[in-house]
Amino acid sequence: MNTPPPVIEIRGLRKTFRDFWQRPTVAAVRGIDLSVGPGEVVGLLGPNGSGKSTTIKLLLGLLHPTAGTIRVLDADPRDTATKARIGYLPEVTCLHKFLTPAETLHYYAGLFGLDGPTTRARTRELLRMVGLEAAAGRPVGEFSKGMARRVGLAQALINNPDLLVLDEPTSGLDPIACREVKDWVRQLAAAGKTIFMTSHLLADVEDICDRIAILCEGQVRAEGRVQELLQRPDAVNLTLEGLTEAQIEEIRGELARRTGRAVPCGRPRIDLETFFLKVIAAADGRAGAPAPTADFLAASPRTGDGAAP
Amino acid sequence: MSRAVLAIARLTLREALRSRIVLLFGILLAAVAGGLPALLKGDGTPAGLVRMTLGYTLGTAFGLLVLATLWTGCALISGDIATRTLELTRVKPVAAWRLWLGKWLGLLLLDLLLLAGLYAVTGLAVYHRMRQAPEATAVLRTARQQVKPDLPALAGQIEQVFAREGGPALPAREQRDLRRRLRRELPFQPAALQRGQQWDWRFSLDAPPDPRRPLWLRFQFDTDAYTRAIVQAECRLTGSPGGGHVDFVLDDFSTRRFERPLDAAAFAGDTRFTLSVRHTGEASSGPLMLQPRQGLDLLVPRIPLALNLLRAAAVQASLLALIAALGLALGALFSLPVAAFCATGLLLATMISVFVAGDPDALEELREARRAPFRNLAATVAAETTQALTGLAAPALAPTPLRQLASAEQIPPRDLCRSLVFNALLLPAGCCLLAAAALRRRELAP
Repeated sequence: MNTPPPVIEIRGLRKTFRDFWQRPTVAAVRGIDLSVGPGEVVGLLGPNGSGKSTTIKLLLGLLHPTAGTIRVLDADPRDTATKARIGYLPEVTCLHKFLTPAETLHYYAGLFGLDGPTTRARTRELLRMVGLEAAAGRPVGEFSKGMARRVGLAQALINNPDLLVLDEPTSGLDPIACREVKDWVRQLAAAGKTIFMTSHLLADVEDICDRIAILCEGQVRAEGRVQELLQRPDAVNLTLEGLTEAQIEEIRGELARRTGRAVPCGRPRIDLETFFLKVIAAADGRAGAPAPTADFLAASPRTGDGAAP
Repeated sequence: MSRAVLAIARLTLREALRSRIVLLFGILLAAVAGGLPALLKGDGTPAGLVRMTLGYTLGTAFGLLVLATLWTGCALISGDIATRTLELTRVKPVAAWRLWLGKWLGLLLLDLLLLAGLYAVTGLAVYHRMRQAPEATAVLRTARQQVKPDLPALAGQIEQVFAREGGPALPAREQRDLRRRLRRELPFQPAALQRGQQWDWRFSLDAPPDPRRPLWLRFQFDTDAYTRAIVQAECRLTGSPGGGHVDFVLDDFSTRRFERPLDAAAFAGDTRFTLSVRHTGEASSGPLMLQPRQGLDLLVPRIPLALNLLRAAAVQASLLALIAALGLALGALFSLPVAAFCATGLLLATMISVFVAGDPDALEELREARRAPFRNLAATVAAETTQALTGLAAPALAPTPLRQLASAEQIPPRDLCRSLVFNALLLPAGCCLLAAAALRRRELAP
């Protein structure tokens, strides 16, 4: 059986920035090999200046590689046909400040050549999905960073892309919005989209990604499935509910007897994000509210499927 | 046209219409168009006042529009690069030339809106003034076709004089210099009409003149300053095939250029005319000097002023299209400050070059400089730059719509077409290719 070609294939990628006189200044990417398969959610992790954003810009054809090859959707990333299948959310959401969210989405839909009815339908669905229906008539320039980020995410989805490239997608968002973005990403992945994202928020990447690559000084230092990379094969973790202090002490004694050393036992903590979301959900009754991403996915046939030009 | 181009054009126009600077600029243009006609005093005649209203108002406002268009063009792409909004556009399936085209169309639409408003306000002011003095301004109500006398082709005349002056025997560089000099001088070479001598000039029209409106003859004679007052010429304009004629006497050479109305009723259906001029001044008077290629025209009323205003607007719109294209191309090549500096410098250099090229004394000095190129390096560079810029700008600046409007001359359809093809099509297409190549090579957001 033929295996489908990787959605992203990077081989020996290098990028050296040069000054006005063409003297090399910074080697931002120093030989990256990476492959992303269809439907995967892959995260590129790394500290500031490690080359994450440069790699993404090379991937999108915004920068030219010094050496190496990049294939996106089995084609050159600078081909317009390839670009028609990509959605991109930049690290800094640079939108036209004088446009409203609806006008912004209409503009980007125009760049994809979508017809009027498709544009209107997708705009409506996406504004609902990112929760900006009420602010649809306000200029984007008046928006907070988080609201602008939502518009940015909506424009990245306007063409219902096969590949979604997200540069720091949760940057500047409050915990609720962060959680929503992560939910959307999961739902988009479940719908078969390939997602390539960068972040330095490790918890976000851990929550969302199937696979990660850790970039440092322009090179991939570690790569693999999140589960495999983070799992400790030499340790076991048990979570038991409804035990009394006496039972806990009994178990601790038994474990100490069997292993020959003291085993720490205590009450686990939920993480702060989960606690925060619980409090906010209780306060405004949002618990269990359905995420509208599924509506958008159901309403939007793929650009390449003939529903749109 | 593709949806992407239209989307970019719409965005550009929308951005402009929502910008406070553009609003302020619109108010400034309205102030110029509405305020200048009220301030102008004219030359004492109603017709002069209308001419000044047309020339000064449209000239000033067009100058402002040119500068605004040039700088806006520079800012459109370079500004998008600086604010990183272009980053999001370039990752969409839009070819670089379509991006440029969309921006250009958007800016052009804005210019057309402003130009339409400007011409509407100026037209209203002009018609209001003409209604106040209908008789005195009648000549301005109809634009006149400018018909030159039938003369041998300039190229042939150049070759004749070239051969007569021994051009073929000269070295190649001197041959080129001689031809260049002849091309520049022969159109202005005067013909001397001695006392008692008669010269005939023939004019051919493509359609007979309207018998209800007067024909006009325009002369630009010169004569000796001391005998100017006593020179006299008897003239006759004869039409054919009808044979009708009108006689008149020229005896006032106090001004260098003047127009004479002639009753067109005598020439019903005529399309060919002969002007006979006989010098009948006193014995002591000097010759009449006439530059037939520059100083003699038959002016035939053809189209209403409103239509001529439309043609002038179209010529100016095509120039704005070129200016916008130039600004956009520079904006794609450089950052905003560099692009604006280059654009303004280029505009100033072209204007100075065209001005210098029209001044015979300055040209002579430049020619002297070229004879010793290494001794006068700066002057040589200036001469070569002047010549190159004048040559490059010549097709773009050939039509002079405001001068023609003010002198009630019809803007010829051929000039209009040439301006549209060169300024609104071919030259912008070149700018588009240049900008697209630059955008493809340019890295965004390193």
